[in-house]
Amino acid sequence: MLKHLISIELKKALNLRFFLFSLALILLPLITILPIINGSYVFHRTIDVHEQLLSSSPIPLLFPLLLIPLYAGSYANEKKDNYLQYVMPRTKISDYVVAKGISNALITFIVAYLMIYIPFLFIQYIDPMINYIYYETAFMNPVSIGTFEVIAQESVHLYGVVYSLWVAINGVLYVTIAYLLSICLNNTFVALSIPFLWWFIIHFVTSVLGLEKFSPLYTVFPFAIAAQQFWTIFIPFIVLILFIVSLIFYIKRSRKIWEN
Amino acid sequence: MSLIELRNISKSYKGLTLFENTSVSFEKEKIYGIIGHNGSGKSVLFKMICGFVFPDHGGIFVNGEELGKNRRFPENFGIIIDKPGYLGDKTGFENLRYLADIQNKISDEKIKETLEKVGLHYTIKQKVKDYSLGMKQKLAIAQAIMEDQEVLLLDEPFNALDVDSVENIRGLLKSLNNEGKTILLTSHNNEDIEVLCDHVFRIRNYKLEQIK
Repeated sequence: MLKHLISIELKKALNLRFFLFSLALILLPLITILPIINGSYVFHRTIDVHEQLLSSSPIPLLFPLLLIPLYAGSYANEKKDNYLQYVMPRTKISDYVVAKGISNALITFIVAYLMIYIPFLFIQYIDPMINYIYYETAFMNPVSIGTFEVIAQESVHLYGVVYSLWVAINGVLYVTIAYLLSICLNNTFVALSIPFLWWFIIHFVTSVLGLEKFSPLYTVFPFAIAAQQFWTIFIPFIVLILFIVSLIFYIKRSRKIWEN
Repeated sequence: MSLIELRNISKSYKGLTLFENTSVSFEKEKIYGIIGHNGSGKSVLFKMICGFVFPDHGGIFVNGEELGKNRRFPENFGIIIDKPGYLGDKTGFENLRYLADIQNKISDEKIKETLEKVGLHYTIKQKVKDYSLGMKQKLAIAQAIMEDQEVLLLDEPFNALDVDSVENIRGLLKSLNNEGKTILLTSHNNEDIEVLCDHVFRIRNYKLEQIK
């Protein structure tokens, strides 16, 4: 039943608005930022371009805010429009809510992954055929791209895959928090804004306290910080997982999904 | 055996006492009207019968099975409670299709046929958020009947409908009843109740009194 409900949710989510928004997220940085940074910065390696492309785009600053509109608000919308009441006689509402959460995670994972991986693919594999990006070859002095440099040293392709996965998984955590909060709180705007506020405020607080290595922003987009030990990126990650587990526990305990 | 039986139920809802030690039963293939002043508990009564809320005391039995024991919601109930529900950014047809997909029991043809029956054309491309209140109400009626539900709980089904639509829906409910459906409905319009209902209950002094 869960698989069937997920397929319905995906059908519901995949509309024109979704495709346009996703395409914009995936392609706009490449189309708009790359021409600006090309020639303005000295690039030695493909990963330098990828790093500069992302850090020059609004993606690191607005990360949760860009992904939440994809599908995280769907439960809140259906509750507001009394739609859930008409779902209840047809299936177990707990299955329906779980299916919605999984669909939200799945959709976000794919879009966030492509948002990082498609530019990487272009820079790494397509550009060498068309030679659009200008590389400095005379004087090689590459600057570290941060915490993930260690993977790039093993294999550039592995870097592309692992880093895209890392961003996508973090995206999934943020939209899942937004989704769960939309079940817990009556004010949808507040519920969907909290992950972004968390992203922004904790970044600010860790910066003020000199603990930038634990900033949510720098652990997902670790470009503006010196390479840290790898374990540091898992600290905010674990905090997010604990937050999600607490929210699920609270929803189950308070029977929130029954109170429409 | 009664189709639906309320045994000694008491219910307070949001700090208001609505029912005290009330018992009533509803038989198959009849149309029942429930009347009562605003806030008397008509919608809460329907919510209890379809398992959305539980009574504080007593039990609700559907086909002899108590709700909340092994089963949370009764099977094969079509409902309209409080107000229509919809996906605002989808068309009427898409709304019904997504709801029907959950159980996957009916075809597109059946949905189109149901839309025509309630007076909505399936070809309408308008999103439901742009529908008039009456159109939303018709869509709500369509979702309640499209899967040939055996029992219909219709809270104010004639809300916002124009005169012709009221006539059409009355005829539709009559014909569904003739096909063997059991219908419980509320209405503030006495004519709807008089024309349609075999039995009428009034909510007064926290009890359901049979007046017809």
